[in-house]
Amino acid sequence: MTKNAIPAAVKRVEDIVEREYEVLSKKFVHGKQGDKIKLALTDVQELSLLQGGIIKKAETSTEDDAKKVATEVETDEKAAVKQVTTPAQADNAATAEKESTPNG
Amino acid sequence: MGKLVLKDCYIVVNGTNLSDHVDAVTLDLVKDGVETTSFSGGGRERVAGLKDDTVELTFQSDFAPASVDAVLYPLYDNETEFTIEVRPTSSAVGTANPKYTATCVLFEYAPLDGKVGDLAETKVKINTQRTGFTKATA
Repeated sequence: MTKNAIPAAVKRVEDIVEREYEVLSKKFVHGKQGDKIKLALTDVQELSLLQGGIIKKAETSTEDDAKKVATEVETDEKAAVKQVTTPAQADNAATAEKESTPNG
Repeated sequence: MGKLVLKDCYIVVNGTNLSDHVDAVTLDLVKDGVETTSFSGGGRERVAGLKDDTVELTFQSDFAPASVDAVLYPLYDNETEFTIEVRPTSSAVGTANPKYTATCVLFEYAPLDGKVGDLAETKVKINTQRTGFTKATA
């Protein structure tokens, strides 16, 4: 996968997010036809390249995004469960651990 | 590289290599001459003002997807800023084959221009923005 960017014009806008695109044109210099590449484009730059049939949005990116969101939600839920543990629960857990360990 | 006959210019417009559809190119590097003439001399005096570089390209029209019109029309219609790269030849960039790059905008575009029997060509004058063309040899 090639990581590339349209230079100069984009430099002025620092918070543009890179997205994945599939190259449709044989003449596109940032990637070969069929390649999936990452480009940081402004809305109008993206629109111009999409309208010209030069690139298209990579279909996998949506699935990847969904997976990413799902993982993040799962992680957040686990963190939330940890946070809900009260001091009393923590004491109980410590006591239980002490009792299970042999005297020494 | 010595004297050069133009056979293999490399022209990339908004990331698309359109060299095989261009048969004429002119890079015009221009600075305003701001007049500073005073009584102290016998003639005019100037200092360099703002840059206003342009590039003129003659495209052989092609309305196929991802070709000339598909690249140029959206740039004109969406008022997109885009990059242009021009090299004397398609060889690697070097001291004998510099690349000129600029961020540009397209204010005028004639998709069709010609008479009966002519090859459909369109001459496009493209204005650069801000810093104009920069030359690089590496």
